[in-house]
This record gives sequence, C-alpha cells and structure tokens, in this order.
Amino acid sequence: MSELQLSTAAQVLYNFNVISGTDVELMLGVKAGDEACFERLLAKYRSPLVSFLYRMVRDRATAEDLAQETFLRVFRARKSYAAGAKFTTWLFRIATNLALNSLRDGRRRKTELSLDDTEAAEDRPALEVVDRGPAIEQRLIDQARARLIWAAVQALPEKQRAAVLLHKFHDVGYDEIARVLGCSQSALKSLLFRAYETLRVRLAPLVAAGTAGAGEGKQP
Amino acid sequence: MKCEQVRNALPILLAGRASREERGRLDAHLASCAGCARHADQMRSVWLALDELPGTEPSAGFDARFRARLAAQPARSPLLAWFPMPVRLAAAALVVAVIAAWFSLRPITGKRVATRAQAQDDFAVVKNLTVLENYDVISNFDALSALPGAEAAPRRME
Repeated sequence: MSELQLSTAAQVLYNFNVISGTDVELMLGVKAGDEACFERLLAKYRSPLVSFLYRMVRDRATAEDLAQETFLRVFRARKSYAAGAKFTTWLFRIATNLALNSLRDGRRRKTELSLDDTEAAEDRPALEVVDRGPAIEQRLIDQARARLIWAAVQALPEKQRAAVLLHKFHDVGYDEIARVLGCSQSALKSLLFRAYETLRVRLAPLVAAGTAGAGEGKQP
Repeated sequence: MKCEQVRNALPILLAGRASREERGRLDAHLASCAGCARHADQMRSVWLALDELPGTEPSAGFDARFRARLAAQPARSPLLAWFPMPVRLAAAALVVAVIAAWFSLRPITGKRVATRAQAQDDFAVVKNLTVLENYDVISNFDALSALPGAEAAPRRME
C-alpha cells in the first residue's frame, strides 16, 4: 500500500460522479420548462459552487454573486443545452470564467486604488493583541498558518489556482478539469505539477514540519 | 519509471486517481528512490495543508436573492423562443445581409438623376466661356462703361 493513499475523511468532497447521474435528465427537464428540475440542480450545486468561488476570489459576497450569475447563465442557456455535455463541466466552466474575469477586474481596480490604499494604511491604528495565555498563542499560530496557506494559494496564477481547487476539493478527473479550463490533458498535468511545486516551495515551513513529523514516525 | 515522470504523476496519486497498474509502478519507484520518496512526503504535506483552506456555505438569503434576480430577467418573446439560438443568429445575419444588399444595389432615381444632369450642364457652360480668356475684350467692353455709376467710381477714388 502506498503511503500516499490518503484518508480523505477530513475533507468535504463533492463527488460529482455520484450525483451527476441524473443531472442530464434534470437539465433536459429545465430545457422543457420544468422549474422544479432547476430548483433541484440549484440545491445540489449551490454549496460546492459557492465554496469553489470563495476559494478562488476569497470574498464571500463576490463568491455568492458569481455563483448566482453562473446559475442565471445556465438558466438563460437552457434551450441550447446538449444532452451529450456533462452538466458539471458546463457549470464549472461558466463559474471559472466568471471568477477569472472578476479577478482580472479586481486587479485592475486594485491597481487604480493602490496609492489610496497605501495612504489609508498609514492612518490605520496598529492591531493590539491582548495576552490571554497559551490559548490565544495557539490561536495566533493557527491564524498565521491559515494566512500562509491562503497566501500561497492566492499567489498562484489564476488558472493554476482553479486547477488545484477543482483537483483538491471537488474530486473532478483530469479530463473534466481540462474541459473546464479549455486545455489539453497533458497541458493540465503540467499546470498541476507547476502549481503543486510552487505550493511546496511557498509552504516550505509547514511542509518541513510535516515531513519531519512523518520522518520521526518512521524511525524505529 | 524516471524520477521526472514519478514527480509529475504525484498529483494523480495524491487524489487517489491513479490506476492500480500506475500506482504499483509509482510505489516501486518510491521504494527505491530516496529523493522521490522525500519529494512525495513533502507533496503529501502540501496536500494535507490544503485541507485547512476554508470553504463557505451560501448565506441564508442566497436563494431569495437568486429568485429575485431570476424574476428580473427580461422575458423572451414567445415567438422567438420557439427557435434555437443558431437559427435566430442565422435569421439576424440574413436580415443584415438583405439590408446591406438593398443599399448597395438600389437604382439611381429622381433627385439624384436630376442633380447629376444639372452638374453636367454647368460644366459645359463654364467650359465654353472662352471670352474670359481675353482680358482686353472685357476691359474695353463699352457696355460696362454705360452702366449707371460707372463714371462716379473713379471720382470717389480721387
């Protein structure tokens, strides 16, 4: 057995393969004008979609707005839905494109506002940390760890970020991720390899600690 | 298997999507290559660290806001709704093509014909004004001296 056969019990995986068996039927129902079918698709996919978008843009309100826009576009395009296309590929392709556009727009706005931000930051009061013993210390360590992970993921190029998030959290196969991102499977393999390598370097402090722990465990 | 191939395949292995055959080959390499085994350990730590990246659930008002947005969608004409999008696009392109063809091929009529004929006549008159070529003819033209006020003009000059 490989040591890399990981337990995924701690993860919340959205296994599309389990629930997508009837997606085509539901979408054909939507196409025929059955609103209940659309409600079922919305109920099935709003959580995974909002989570995916939140991890992409790191803003809850924007993530919800983009998820709603994704569902609106699905509804608007219901007449042109072809039964051969996998619903989740279609859904996540729309969501990914919307997220990428939103990130690009946000970057443009951020560039325009960066001077104002610098000035505003100088006026902000310094954060005060009240010492409440080991509990607050541990919380601060956890927060620092979470910030490091967030920063490493957010620093990935957007397409790599989308690939990693779909691969890690949504249990989607390479063929489907490739279709969502509009690239070949070999290009996706290369994209994922570069993304995980970048994360390995950026998360070096955590990786070193984890590896040291694993190494200690293996020693007799 | 080469080390590069093994490292490229680690994301598939981490996600548990490697085939049994592929997993066997990877395990065999990892058992014999300390460098790749260390690399695989680090990648596993990255994979586990990503579990700490929080997701989020839709807020309580998500559905209500979505229904409001859906209701605000403009209703499509029932007649157009019968036709799929490619057919509607083709029809629009045909209408544009017909209008463009009508503008480019329409016959010259009425005012445009009259304007062109008028311009040709004017040109013929100007072309035949040979008298302007000889200034002496104009300066010694008696008819000009006989005009009222013709004599008064030199006096004003003085």
